[in-house]
Amino acid sequence: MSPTEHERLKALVFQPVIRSTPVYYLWLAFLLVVFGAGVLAYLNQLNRGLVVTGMRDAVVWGLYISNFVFFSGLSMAGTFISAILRITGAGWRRPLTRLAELSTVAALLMTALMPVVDMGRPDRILNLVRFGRLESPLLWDLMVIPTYLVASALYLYLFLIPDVAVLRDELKGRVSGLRRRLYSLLALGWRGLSEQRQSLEWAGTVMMLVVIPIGVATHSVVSWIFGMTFRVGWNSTIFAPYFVVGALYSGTALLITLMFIIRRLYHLEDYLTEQHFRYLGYLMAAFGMVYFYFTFAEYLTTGYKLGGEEKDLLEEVFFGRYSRLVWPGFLAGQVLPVLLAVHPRTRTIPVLFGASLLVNVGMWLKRFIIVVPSLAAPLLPAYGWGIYIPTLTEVAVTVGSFAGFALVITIFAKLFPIVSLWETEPERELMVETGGPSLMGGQDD
Amino acid sequence: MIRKVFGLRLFAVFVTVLAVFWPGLPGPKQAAHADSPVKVRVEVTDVGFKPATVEVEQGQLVELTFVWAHQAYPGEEHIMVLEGYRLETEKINAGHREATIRFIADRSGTFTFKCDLDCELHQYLQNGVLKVRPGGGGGASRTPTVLRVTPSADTTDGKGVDLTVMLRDPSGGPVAKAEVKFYLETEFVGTKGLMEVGRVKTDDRGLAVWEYRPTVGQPEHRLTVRFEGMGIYDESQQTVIIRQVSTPPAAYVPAPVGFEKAPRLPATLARGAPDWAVSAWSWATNNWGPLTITTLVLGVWAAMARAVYEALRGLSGAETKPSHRR
Repeated sequence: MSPTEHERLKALVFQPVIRSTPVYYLWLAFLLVVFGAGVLAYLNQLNRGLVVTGMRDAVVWGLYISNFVFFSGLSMAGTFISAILRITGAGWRRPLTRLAELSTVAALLMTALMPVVDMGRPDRILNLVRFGRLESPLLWDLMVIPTYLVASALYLYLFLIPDVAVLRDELKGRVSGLRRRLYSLLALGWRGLSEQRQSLEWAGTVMMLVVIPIGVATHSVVSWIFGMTFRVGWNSTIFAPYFVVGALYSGTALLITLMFIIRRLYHLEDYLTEQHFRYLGYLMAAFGMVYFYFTFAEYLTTGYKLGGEEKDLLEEVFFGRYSRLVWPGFLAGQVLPVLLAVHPRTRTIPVLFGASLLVNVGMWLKRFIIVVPSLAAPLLPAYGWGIYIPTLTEVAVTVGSFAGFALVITIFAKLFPIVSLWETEPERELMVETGGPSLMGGQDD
Repeated sequence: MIRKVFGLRLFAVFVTVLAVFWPGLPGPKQAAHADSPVKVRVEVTDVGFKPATVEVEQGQLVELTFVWAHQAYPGEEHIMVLEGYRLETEKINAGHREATIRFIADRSGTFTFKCDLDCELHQYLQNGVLKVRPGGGGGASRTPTVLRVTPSADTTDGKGVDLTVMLRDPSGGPVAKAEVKFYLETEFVGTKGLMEVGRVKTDDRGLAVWEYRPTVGQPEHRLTVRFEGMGIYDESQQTVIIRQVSTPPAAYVPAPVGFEKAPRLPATLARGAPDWAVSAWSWATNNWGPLTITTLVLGVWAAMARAVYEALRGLSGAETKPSHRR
């Protein structure tokens, strides 16, 4: 990237930080209203108890836990993919990393929120710490998810410092005093000195190496909540890698969705090019195929034997009451997007955007299918199938959580550059070509 | 003669009319006393209680009988409770159609009677009303009782302690077939209260024996032994204190988990090792999963702390000329 191009990119990225359009404020107001409605619905639930939800004694987990698994999957997108791409030296990832890391933090905030929303008595959450047993997968979640959240937030922040310093220096008089103080505080005295760069790169490298195992651990632990429970449909040894691949798949799709939106809004057509979409499309297709393979292996093994309870469950899932969700979810989430991403004719930016949306709709349905039917399946012969119909409260909280996710990104985009300018600096690329720090820079493609 | 007979008849009619209409005289219901209770029958039907409201006078002895009278629900079963008087019936169903509670309506007000089972018609059987009008003519009162528990204080090394309950009326006569409840003063997640730990019924001699077996480890077990009166007697209770002199055996022993053939601590090491070390080894060998996750998480936090420390040190310590592009 030439210095002129870099300056142009900087102007494009800084523009929304300095001045927002009425559309931005309308969008912000819309998100606040939807999020507020979700909060109100939750307060109603808090006041009246979980009886306002569709969850009962048989099906004790519903939309909230489905959302929990879904958001945890989305969180895989950013930090993990960003770290992998940094380590493998994929230079094309530079305009994407900030967006990816941000989406992780936003999704993890919602992930952490969902189990609390699912609790009848959230005021007793500390009992998990006071009386928790290390043998319980719930406690593993309690350890791993906050760790991943802190690690991701730290990872996002570390690579934000140089850009915040530029904001501090270049936006004097153009933003409010409060924001200037915020930038000054967050910049930590960054002046771009070589010692500072070395420190930052060292810390960033450590964080990069740390974030990958903890990302894998997060999705494994989420899967073990199910896999460690004696329940038909959950007795699987491949749940951990299955969930990790599922998370990578939906996470990559989310990245494509966000990239498409940011590209349009920020007019970054020259920087987020078709090449970026194509590469992410390849990744999405690859993860999709591996996910399909896991799905196939999982259902074939149990479906081939068709033992007792498994037979009833699979019949209900594929041909019974859940078939209306399973087949559209399977086609939309696993088959169609992969076909669209691998075929050269359909591998265009708008089609990939559509495919990425399909992936996440399908993956949400898949999470619902993992959670609910296994709980609804009767464990004793005298009992029938449990019934779960989500109520308006649950739907409002769910929609509110999606609005909350978008709200975090929207507010961040107003305060900080959504594209990492620091990593696209011309001299950084030069440093890479002449053999600079390999983990931080990498080779341009 | 005719006049005399007529005069007597007239007097009889007058007395009868007076007896019926004189406000101070009790009517048929009010005439009840301890030996002749007011008998009320309430049918439990497919659409609810019939009648749904029962009225009595304060001080009356009442016999409230619930009659199972379902048409379309042959499988229904109920246990009726009378809130406020803390009374409940036996279970009624198609095979055992009637159950009676007998009590002195000594408290005025409105009380609810309802089914306490999760029956099919549950929602229709929650609105029975007993109205006790204040200041009625009923003269019945509850019979006082005396409850004695022996021993009133004891110690335990974790084994059970036999408590003998003796229930008597003021004349020293036994109160037979009376239910006595045992409550333990306890605390759970910051909430203190009485937890029911047992029930027993007295025999014809007014005696009952119940064994208290500690299930929670605490220095002192305070038991409240209470006879709640069954509606016709006064409530009586006594507190028993049992001190714990050693840890009781676990009441709930989790099923053994883990591999039986998991490596044990070598005998030479185990011989000199403290108990906690042997337990820790055993736990660790059977819980390598959680241990791995904990180690990973702790490692991540340590690495993050180091990274932040280095970044902060480097950023604040740099003194040379700035080089970043503007």
